[in-house]
Amino acid sequence: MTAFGALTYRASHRRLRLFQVFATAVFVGLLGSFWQIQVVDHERYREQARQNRIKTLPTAAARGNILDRHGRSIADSEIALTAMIDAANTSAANLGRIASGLDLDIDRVWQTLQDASDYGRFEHIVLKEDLSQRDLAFLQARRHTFREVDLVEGMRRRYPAQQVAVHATGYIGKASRRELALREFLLLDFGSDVGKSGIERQYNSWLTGTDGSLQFIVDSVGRSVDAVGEVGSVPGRNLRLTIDLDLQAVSELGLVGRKGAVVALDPRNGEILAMASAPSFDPNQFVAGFQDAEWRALNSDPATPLLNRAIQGTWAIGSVIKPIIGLAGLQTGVAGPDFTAHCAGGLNYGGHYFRCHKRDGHGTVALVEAIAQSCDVYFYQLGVTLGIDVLERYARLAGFGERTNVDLPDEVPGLVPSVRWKVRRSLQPWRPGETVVVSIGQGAMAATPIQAALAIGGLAMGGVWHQPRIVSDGQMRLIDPDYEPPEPRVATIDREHLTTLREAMWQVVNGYGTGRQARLSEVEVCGKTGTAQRVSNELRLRSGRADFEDDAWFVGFAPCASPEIVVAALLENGAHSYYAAAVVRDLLQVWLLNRPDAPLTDSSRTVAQSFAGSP
Amino acid sequence: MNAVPTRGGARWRRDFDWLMAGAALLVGILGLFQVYSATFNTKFYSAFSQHVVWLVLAIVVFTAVSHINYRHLVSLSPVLWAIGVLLLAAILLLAEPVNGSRRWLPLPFGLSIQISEFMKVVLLLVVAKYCAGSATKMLRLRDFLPAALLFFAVFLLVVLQPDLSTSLSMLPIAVTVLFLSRISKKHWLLGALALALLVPLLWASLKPYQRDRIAGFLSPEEAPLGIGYQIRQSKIAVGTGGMWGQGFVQGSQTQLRFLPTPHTDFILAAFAEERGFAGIAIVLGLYYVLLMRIADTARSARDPEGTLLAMGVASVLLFHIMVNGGMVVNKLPVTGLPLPLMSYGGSNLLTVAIMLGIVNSVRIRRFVN
Repeated sequence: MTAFGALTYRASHRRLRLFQVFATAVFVGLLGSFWQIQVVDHERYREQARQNRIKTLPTAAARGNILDRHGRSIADSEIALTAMIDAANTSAANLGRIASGLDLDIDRVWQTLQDASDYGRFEHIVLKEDLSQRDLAFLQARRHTFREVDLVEGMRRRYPAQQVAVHATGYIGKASRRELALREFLLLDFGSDVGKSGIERQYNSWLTGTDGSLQFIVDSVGRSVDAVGEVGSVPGRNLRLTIDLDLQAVSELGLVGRKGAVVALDPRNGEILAMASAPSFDPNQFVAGFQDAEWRALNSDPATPLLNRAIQGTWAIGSVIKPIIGLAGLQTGVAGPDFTAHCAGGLNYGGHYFRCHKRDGHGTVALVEAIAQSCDVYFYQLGVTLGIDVLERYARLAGFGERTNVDLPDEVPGLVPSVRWKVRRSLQPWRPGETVVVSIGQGAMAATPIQAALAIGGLAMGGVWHQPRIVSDGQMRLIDPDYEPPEPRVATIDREHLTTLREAMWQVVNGYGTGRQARLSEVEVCGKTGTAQRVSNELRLRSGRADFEDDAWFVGFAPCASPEIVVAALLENGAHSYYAAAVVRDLLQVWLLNRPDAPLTDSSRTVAQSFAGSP
Repeated sequence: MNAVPTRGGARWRRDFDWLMAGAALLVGILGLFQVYSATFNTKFYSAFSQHVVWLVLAIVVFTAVSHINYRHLVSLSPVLWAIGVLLLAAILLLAEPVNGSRRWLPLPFGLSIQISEFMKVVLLLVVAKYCAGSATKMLRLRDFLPAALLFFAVFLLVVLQPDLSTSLSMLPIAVTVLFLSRISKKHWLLGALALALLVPLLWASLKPYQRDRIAGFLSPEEAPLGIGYQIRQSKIAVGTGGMWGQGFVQGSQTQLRFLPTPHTDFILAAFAEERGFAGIAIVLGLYYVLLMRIADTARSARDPEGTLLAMGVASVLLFHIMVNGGMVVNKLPVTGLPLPLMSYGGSNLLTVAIMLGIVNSVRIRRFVN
C-alpha cells in the first residue's frame, strides 16, 4: 500500500490479514456466547437470578387446639423459634460446629439432611425447634459465620394438661418415611408434623393448618433488603372433644400408681366423657424431639405406657359378663323365676370341679341374687343350659368380640369364643367345660374396657348400644357436612327383663352385693363387679407374684332408672373389684358436681387443675 | 512539547487518529458509568471519582505520547527497561505483600501503581528495537537473543511476584514477533518451543486457588461456593441482562453483590446485566473498530518498528478482551486480567493510554516527509 515498502513488513501483509481474521473470529465467538446466554437462555438465567435474590422462608401455621367438652385446652400451640438450615450452602465443618453449639447429635443431623435430600429438600430443613435462650445466643453471635442457618417463628405443640388424657389425645411428631408414603399425607413436605396417635392422628387433617411463606429480597450475604411477598398461613381448626377434663382427671387420679384403664361414656349417645390409661407419659417430650434412648425406654417399658389400655388392651372380662348372660337367659325364657341353682362352693361338670369365688357357697340363688352376689355356680348352670352358641350371640349383641369403632386409631376387637372359632384356631372340637368358663367371662373371652362400658351401658339403656364417640355429632357435622351419626344397635328387651337386670345391678351396689364401694348417697348407682383370674388360685397363692394377681373390674352406671353415665374401671392385677368400684365411685362423685344441670363449680375445676399442674 | 518540529497544528489534527481515540474514549466512558453503578452503594464508592481522575489522566497521557516520536521511545527502551527492572526488583524485595503477592509500587497521595503493567509497554519497545530487522532479512537465532533475554527477565520477575495473569498478558507480545518476523521455520519452532516451555513453569507457580479456578472453570456446578460460585454468578448476571438489560443501577446480580468484583474483573458481566445484549454488541463493536484501526495503522506504518509496535498493542488488547470476555461467559478460566479501558484501575488504564498513544504516534508519522 505505502510507498516505503523497502522498510516495511510488505511480505507480512498476509499475516496482518490473518490477525484480522483471527480477531474477527474472537469477536464473533464472544458475541455468539453473549447471544446464547443473554437472548437464547435468558429465561433460565432470569429464574436463577430470581432464586438468588428471592429468599422464601416458611411461616408455620398453628395446629388446631384440642379442647374438652367445656372448651378447656388439652392441646394447643405456642410460638417458638426454629432453626432451619440450607443444606446446599453449608459445609461439613460448619455443620459440626452448629450441631455441637445446639447440642445436637451430628450423626442425626447428617441423617436428617440425607433424608431431606431423598425427598428433594435442600432448603429450610428444620435443625432444631423450640430454641432455648442458649441456642439463640449461640446462633445470634455467629449469624455472619453460619449464613446457612435461618431463624423462623415456628409453632410448638403444647399439652398443658401434660399426661392427662394423653392416650386419647395422642401426640405429634415428624412424619416418618412410611407415613409420607401414605396417600393421606401425599401433600406433606419432609419434616412436617403429623399426629402419631390418638385424636392427633385420627383428626390430623382437620387439626393441621397450611403453612404460608414469606419472601424477601436478600443480597449475596443473605441480608434481607426488602420484603416482597407473603402467602398467609391458614391455621388448623380447633377440635372439641366429648371428654370432660374433670372426669378425666379424677379417672387418672384413681389410676395413679396402678396399671389399668377407666372409660366413662354417656350411654344415651355414646359420647366418651373420660378415657384414661395407666401408666402414662408426658406427650410434651415427644414435641421437644425425643432422644433415641428416651424413646426406646418408653417403647420397651414392660408396663407399656404407650398402650391405650382403654381400647388397645384386652382382658378376661370376668363377672362383668353376668348381666349379659342373664339377659340371654331371660330373653330365651330359660332363666325364669323358677330357674335356680344351688351353690355349694362349686360345680362338678364333665369330670371337672369348677369353683365359685365364694368357697362356702351361696346356697340356693335365682338370677337377681346370682348377679348381686356374683354366684359363679348359677351362671355355670345357666351357661351350660343355654349353650355356647347362645352365649356367643348375646355377647356379640352387647358389643364384645368386635371393635366399637370409636373414632380413635388402633382399636382392638377382643374375642368372643365360639365353636367355629375353636375349630378354626386349633382344629379341635369345642369342649363342654369351655362353655362353663365363658359363662363367667373367663377362658378365651377377652374384652377391652371400652367394650365393658358399652355393653353394660347399652343394657342399662334397655338394649340400645350407641357407638362410642370422642367427638360429638355437632362437631362432626362441622368437619363433614354430610356426616350422619351411626345408628345404634338396638335389641328388643322385655320391660320386665330389663327391670330384673337393673334390680340385680342395683343390688350389687346398694344391696348385699359385691360392689358396695360404689354406693353414693346423692344418686343411685348400679353396676357389676368382675374379678378375672390370670392363673389358678392355687398358683397365684403359691407364687405370691404381683403379676399373677387377679384383674379387677367394675362397671357402674347412674342414675339406675335413667342412666346418664356408665363407667368401666379395670385395674390390672388389681386383686379385688372392691378397688375398681372405688375408682368408679370417685368419678361419679365428680360427675355429680359437673352434671349438665349443675353449674361448673370451682371445686370441680380445682380437681383438674391440681392434677394437671398449672399450664 | 511537539516532538515533530516540522509538523504544523492543522496537519497534526488531520493525521491524529480520531476514530481510534473516539472508540477508546466511548468504551472508557461506558466503563466509567459501569464502575459507578457497581460501586456507588458499596464500600468502594470512591472508585468512581478515582476512576474519573484516572480517565482524565489517561486522556492527557494519550495525547502527550501521541506527540512523541515513537522512534525516540524505541531507542530509549533499554534505559526504560533498566529502570523498570530495578523497580520490579525493588517491589519484590521491599513491598508489603497484598493478598499474598507483591505487585504494587506505592505513590504519594495514597495511590499505588503496578509497574508490571507498564512493563508491557517497555517490552513492546524493546521488541521493536531488537527485532525490527526481521522485516527485511532472515534473522538468525542470535539476532533474537537480546530481545528474548530482556523479555524473559521481565517475565520471570512478574511470575515471581507472583502475578500469573499479568505475566500471561505479556506473551502476546512475543507471539506477535514470532508471527510477523521473517524467520526460518526452524527458528519459529524453536521460539514456539521456548514459549511452550513456559507452560509447566507457569503451572508450577500456580497457587492452589489458581488450580481451583481451572477446576472451577471445568465444572462450575460442582462447586457452588468459591470459584465455581463466581463463574455461575457471572453467567447468571449476563443471562439476566437479556436483550435490553435490567437498566442502569438496576441489575440485581450486581446491586445485591452476587456478582464478584463487578467493577474490575467482572465489569463486563455487570455491564451485560444492566445494558443487555444491545450494550454488549455496542461495546464489542467499539473494541472491534479499535482493533481493526490499529491493525490498519500497523499496515500503513512507515517502518518495521511502527508495525511491530502497533501489532504488539493490538495483540495485547485482543488477548485481554478475549481472556476477560471468555471468562465472563465461562468459555475460559477465571484469571485476574482486567478488561482494557473499562475495568476500574489506574495502572491498566494508563498503560492502555500509553499504548494507544504510541499507536497514534505511529499513525501520525506514517508518511515520511
